[in-house]
Amino acid sequence: MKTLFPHLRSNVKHKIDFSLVPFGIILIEFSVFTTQLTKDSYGSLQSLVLMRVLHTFVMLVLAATLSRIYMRLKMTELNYRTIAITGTLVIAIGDFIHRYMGPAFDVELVSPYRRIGIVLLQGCFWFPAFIIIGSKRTQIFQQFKEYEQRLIINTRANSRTSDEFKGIQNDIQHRIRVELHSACNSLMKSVSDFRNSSGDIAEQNKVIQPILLGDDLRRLSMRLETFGSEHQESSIFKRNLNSVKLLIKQFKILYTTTAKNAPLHWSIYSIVLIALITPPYFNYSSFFEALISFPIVAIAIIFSSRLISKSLSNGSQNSLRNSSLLILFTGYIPGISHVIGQMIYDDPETKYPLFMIALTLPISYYVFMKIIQVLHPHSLELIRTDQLKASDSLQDAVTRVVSDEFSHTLSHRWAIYIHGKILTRLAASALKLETACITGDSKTFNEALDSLIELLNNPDSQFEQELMDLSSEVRSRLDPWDGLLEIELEIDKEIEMITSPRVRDLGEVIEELISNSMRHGKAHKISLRVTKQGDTNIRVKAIDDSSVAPIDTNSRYGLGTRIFNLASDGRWSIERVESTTVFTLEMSLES
Amino acid sequence: MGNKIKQSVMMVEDDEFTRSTVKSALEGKGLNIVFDTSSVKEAIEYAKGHRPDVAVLDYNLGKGPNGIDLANQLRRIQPSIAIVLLTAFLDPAQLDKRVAELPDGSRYLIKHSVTKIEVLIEEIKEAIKSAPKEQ
Repeated sequence: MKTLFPHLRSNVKHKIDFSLVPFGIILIEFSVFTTQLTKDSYGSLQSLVLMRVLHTFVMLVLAATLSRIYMRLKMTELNYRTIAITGTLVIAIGDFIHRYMGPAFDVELVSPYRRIGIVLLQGCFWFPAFIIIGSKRTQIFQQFKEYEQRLIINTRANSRTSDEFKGIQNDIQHRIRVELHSACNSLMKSVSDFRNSSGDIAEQNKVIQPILLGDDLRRLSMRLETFGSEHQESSIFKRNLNSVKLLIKQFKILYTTTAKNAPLHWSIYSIVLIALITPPYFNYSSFFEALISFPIVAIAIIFSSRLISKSLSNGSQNSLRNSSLLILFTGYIPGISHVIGQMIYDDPETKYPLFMIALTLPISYYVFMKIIQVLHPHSLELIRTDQLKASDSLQDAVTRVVSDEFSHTLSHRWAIYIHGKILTRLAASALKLETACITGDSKTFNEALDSLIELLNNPDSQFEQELMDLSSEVRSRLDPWDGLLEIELEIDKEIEMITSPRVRDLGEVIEELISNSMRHGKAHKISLRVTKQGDTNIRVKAIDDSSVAPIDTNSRYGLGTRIFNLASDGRWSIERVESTTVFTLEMSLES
Repeated sequence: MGNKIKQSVMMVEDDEFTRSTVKSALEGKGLNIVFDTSSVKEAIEYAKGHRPDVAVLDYNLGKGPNGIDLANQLRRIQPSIAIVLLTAFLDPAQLDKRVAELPDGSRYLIKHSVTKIEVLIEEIKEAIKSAPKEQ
């Protein structure tokens, strides 16, 4: 089993990365500062703070020097032993300087033996830990990014094909249609009433013209058009909050799966806690106190760590809950031992500071162990093999996002339809009626009214277009651009004739990407390939000669993003390659 | 009403009913409608071959490019062409922020104001006046 922290004798080489070392130095220096503060072993607070700031600076310089030496000697990868030895050396130099700074700033230091122990712990454990975690930083971030992407893709696909989403789809469609019919019925009723009330076309025209402005329909289509953007602008905080909630949910899923499938070895639970409690022991306990209590605490920690490991391995229903409780309990062992120790031998000097440490330690240990578990290399394997399943709450959250995208894109389509077809026809009818009225042509006048009533009676008849095969759908989206853009198209023969509702989504994608290329990228030429991927997927790849770099896909959440997300479940990207823009999207043809 | 428009006018509108209604009304007022179509491709081909003086375009042309895309392309083909864009939107900028990218001197008109055809004729005259002059 691979672990993040290899065996001490391991010869595995680690990339040298100092990026987290300054953070580690500041953390350790702060911990020393709080220890010295609680021990009340300083002349004045000002001199203590000054000494710690100076020593932090010295340690940062020493770390930077070591980093330089590594670079000069081209030591880009080292094994654990070498890192630990060089780390101990640097910490020892820092301690040597500390030794002289103490008296100068009137700060009392712990005995040389204790300092040796602290130097060894920091040099052999914390220093290599920060270097190794730093070197795996990119991998860890990449791992999380990949995890998030794959989980969201799978969850989106599940949402899109779920009965719940289909119900939401039908509901949104139904609501828009009802509103449209209601607005058109009211218009139709007014037109019919006035038509029947007077035989004179001039009189009829006078009262019908204002109705044909179609104010209700105009308001409906504007509302549909701004549906998504209003929602988006008004709730940035809410969206950020949802992101944090989703992140926590994802972390829980990743933890649950890795802890069940690849639990950490018990020794890691022990080593981390012992490493965390050793400095306070060195700082506060006398040699004899430590000699008696430290082995007992260490044995208790090892025993408890084995129980954690055993609990995770038995695979029972409550194993995760039990192990979490055990981790928390293990964190309390030093505190319990301290309380017992104080009952046997009351030491007022160490009572308060150690009690504070004992209170805060379990929480930090608990969080630390959860993070280490998630960073286990096995999690990467789980991600790659799609073994992670979203929780119900995550599934619900994603379904809401998918529904919102669907509502927005559908609302936009309806808004365009109402403006482009119905309001346009109302305006043209108004013109026809006016012209007929001027010329006194009652036949044309009545024909125009009949045609208008027919449209208002069945206003959505032209909204749904008939399903086409994949090739015809793609070509129907590309042909209108002929003359504006030079387009090269290639479609895999075996998918050309596929007919499915998803083919229409592909058409929307093609339409959006072509218009983006031309309008935002000012492209003149675009090459488009639609290829088969596996049994049910297709890939769309478009390369254009845009003069403008694509907009960052993370920062924009416009209509295009929604169309692409909805069609591909999030599997799309835009990147700039030399002087071209490459758009890639993968989507399933299964509805 | 001022002088008659002698320039050649092409119309692009995807809705056949609207196209034929506006065309008849304009012709009724003596305008020379030389070409009308619902297709962007046909409009471009015609402009290349015949270089009309005025283009009356619908904003929403169905699938593919819209009136703004076509207007810009027509201006590249025929730099002095006068352009009038018809739209059903009260505020076209709400639908498409690129309305600002319309070629210089272009006019846009909300469709329901075309109820009186004279309004459109006035806009065509304005567009002709403000279109770039042939070098």
